Amino acid sequence: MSKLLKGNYEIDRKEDNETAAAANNDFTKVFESKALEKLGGSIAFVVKADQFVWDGDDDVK
Amino acid sequence: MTLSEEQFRLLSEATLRKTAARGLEHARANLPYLQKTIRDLQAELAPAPRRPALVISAGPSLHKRNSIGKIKDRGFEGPIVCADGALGHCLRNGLIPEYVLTVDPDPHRIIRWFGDPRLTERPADDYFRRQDLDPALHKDEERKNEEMIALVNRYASRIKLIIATSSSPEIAQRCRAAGMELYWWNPLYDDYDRPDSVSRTVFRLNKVSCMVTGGNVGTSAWVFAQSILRSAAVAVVGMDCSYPPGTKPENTQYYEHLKEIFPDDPARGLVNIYNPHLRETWLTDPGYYWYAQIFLKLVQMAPAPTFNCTEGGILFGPGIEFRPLVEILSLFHDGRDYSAATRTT
Repeated sequence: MSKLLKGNYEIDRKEDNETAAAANNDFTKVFESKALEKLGGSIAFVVKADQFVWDGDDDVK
Repeated sequence: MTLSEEQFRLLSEATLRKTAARGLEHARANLPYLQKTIRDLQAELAPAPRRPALVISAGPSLHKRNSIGKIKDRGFEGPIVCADGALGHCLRNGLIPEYVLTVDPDPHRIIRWFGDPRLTERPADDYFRRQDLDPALHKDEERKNEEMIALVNRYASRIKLIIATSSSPEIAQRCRAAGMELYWWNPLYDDYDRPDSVSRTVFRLNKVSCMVTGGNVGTSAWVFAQSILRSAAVAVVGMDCSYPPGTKPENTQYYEHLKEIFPDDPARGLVNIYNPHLRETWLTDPGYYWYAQIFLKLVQMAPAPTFNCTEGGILFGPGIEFRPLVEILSLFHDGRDYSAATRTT
């Protein structure tokens, strides 16, 4: 599952590496759990075509 | 560390499943109250020049950094857009926001931010006591609720409620009765070109424009400032997307659910993030981390520069200027070129 996580910086120390790997594994477990649905946000999110507001296009006509 | 695209998608789909049915149910129940929309507001504002806006979210830095005191001391002449959860803190400290956003479809909790006339009838819930969103609610909840009812009733006529159709109809009833002007919008739930799209279904129901939410009310307020107010620049405060150093895991919003996943140690579901601007490590959870990742995506689409003046939290990265609040209030006050004040972070 570690391929699901992208690092964005280099860690120098071996012990830090081990700590980060453990945190990543734990975080990945959250996404494999049935409780994920309860952990989501306040409201659904999607963005499309770089638009902040959609006025219904053909539905308006 | 960052969420992978797969993790981002899983959280987005989980939130859609959690909120769409209730949001649609509320949109139907809110039909009798629909009058003006966010597009009507935009038309009303059209002759006004573009100004910088201030977005107030309800993260713990709002009170820890005394953001409201700084705003009052330095002064700010542009529109103030407030998340529902921050309204009480603003009013108790003498700041009346021009706009308040609400979007969460929870049928019992959210009305508390406006003063809940039916508080004693609600199901038992320690959500407000456990968290740092508004510490005034930590004790003597019933008395604080009565105070909030009185404050909202007193200042409602000066506040425009930017209300999502997903919100409980009780919020529309409460705020109309108090004297707020309501402007409606639909949350953009999903891809409107998908078969059985919830976004298209709700639009066909009420013909109200759909606005991107960012997954939470604070980001919705920022989207509103960018897209409907067409602000010249947007500064945000109280947008932590995380918990301050030293926060106990049991005081995080999803603790009960993390206990299901990690019964022996729920803290394993939380992640430490180092903020190089503050040189501090803050604690976050999957939901808050998702919010921060969404914001980083959205800021790339924004027409106006964004200044994060929270002075706390984990919301930093390309497109976000992480600056002290007083510095940005001075910049806005002096009317200098906001784009020239940005730098690559």
